[in-house]
Amino acid sequence: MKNTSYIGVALLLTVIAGCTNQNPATHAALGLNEDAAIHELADLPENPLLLHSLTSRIQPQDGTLSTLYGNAIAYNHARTKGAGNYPAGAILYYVTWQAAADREWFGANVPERIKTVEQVRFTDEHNALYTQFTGNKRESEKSTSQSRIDLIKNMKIADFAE
Amino acid sequence: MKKIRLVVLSIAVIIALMQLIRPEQPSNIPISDLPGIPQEVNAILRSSCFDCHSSQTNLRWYDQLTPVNYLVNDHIIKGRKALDFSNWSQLTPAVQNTKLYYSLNKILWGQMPLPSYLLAHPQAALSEKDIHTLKDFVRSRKAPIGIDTIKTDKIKQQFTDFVRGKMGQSKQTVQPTPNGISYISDYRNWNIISITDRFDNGTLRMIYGNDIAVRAIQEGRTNPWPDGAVLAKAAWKQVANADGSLSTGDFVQVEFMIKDAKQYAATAGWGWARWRGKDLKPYGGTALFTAECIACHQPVKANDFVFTRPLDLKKLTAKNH
Repeated sequence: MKNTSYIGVALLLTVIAGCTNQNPATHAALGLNEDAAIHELADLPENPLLLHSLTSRIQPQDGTLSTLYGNAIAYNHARTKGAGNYPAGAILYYVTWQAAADREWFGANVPERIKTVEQVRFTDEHNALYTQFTGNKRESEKSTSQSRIDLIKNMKIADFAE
Repeated sequence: MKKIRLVVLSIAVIIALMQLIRPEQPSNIPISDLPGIPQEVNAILRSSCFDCHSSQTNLRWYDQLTPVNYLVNDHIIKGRKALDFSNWSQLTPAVQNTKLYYSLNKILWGQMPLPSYLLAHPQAALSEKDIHTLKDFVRSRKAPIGIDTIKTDKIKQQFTDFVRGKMGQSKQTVQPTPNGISYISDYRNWNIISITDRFDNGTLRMIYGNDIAVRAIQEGRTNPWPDGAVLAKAAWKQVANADGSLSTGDFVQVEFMIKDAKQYAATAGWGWARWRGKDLKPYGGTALFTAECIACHQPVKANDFVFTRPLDLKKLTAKNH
């Protein structure tokens, strides 16, 4: 008799368990990624995150992710001509974040916090001014400016299917 | 006391009679260790996954009692359909990787092994050490990306074609998805709300938000997102540059989530859509494909089904410029 009762209770428990939600929502509200955003302009002339995005890159050796942003002049140039010598008034920003493992998906990295913002301002097709910001603070002029200008201005806009 | 005995006896008789009705037993064909997978990982798969995800199903006596056996059978049929390790060597490495990462994420979300299965089979529970072992193994299977000049040349050509096509304003006709959603072509003019390096499958993703979505971020109203908010996630294959950095290569797909709590009430308040490849082929055979989208996004139900944590896109004013 004891055995029968045990089986009955075990069956009941199993059926109840089988009927319970098998897809528990394990994540609470995620909120915004505040750490990776810009909260104060400080030395920055504008918030580059609100400009057009042209493309993104990953630097696995540094554990960083970047996005190339541009103002309307830069964006229109990139969409029609690709990259290279941007016209006067074009401004590019290359924003680089330290990457971190995505908490919602094992197998992905997402922006964690901004390391640098590099601004390339074109005075004409062949001349550009380079400014680097660490976070939102302006850095002093570096000797590598020209190589960074060349790298950034030659990044091609992402290839969209259209 | 007599009454209790009578009730217990009646239950026992009913259960005994129920045993006359039984579903067909699932097959039990032993399988050897999976090739190319370390011994310790094989051991974990065998103890925690194989019962429902392979042809080797070790049924305990209590799994075989009616009505439990119907529930168990249903789990096994669905489990084998989703992932059957008996066919492992027939899958391409890319498909194997997709299955491994997805399965590990299901484990990390607490969805697998099924909680009801664990209740009756506690030995199948994964320890912290097991999860660590699986993470190390799965991470070692990330999509390999080398410097490939042929691939790079192909991308350069595609890019030239793209620019030429754009200059001539040529646009292909894109078909709507089976659930009736029309292609939204101007998403690339929207702000991006985040980016993702998906090293599991070697893609780079940029996630865009329309004006309503960006305003919702700025006002902190993203759970739930307001009606009219649209999120677009575009993906490209990663391609290696000479300096070791990775750029956007071939366009892979774009996926949309369109918020309208009333219009899309039957699909968790969102219109789901995906177009794949350079020819923007709509994804899904029938409108029921959205069930797949919702099932995948279920772990973030408490976040209005959105995986992305958007960058805070503050409007800031310069003081000294």
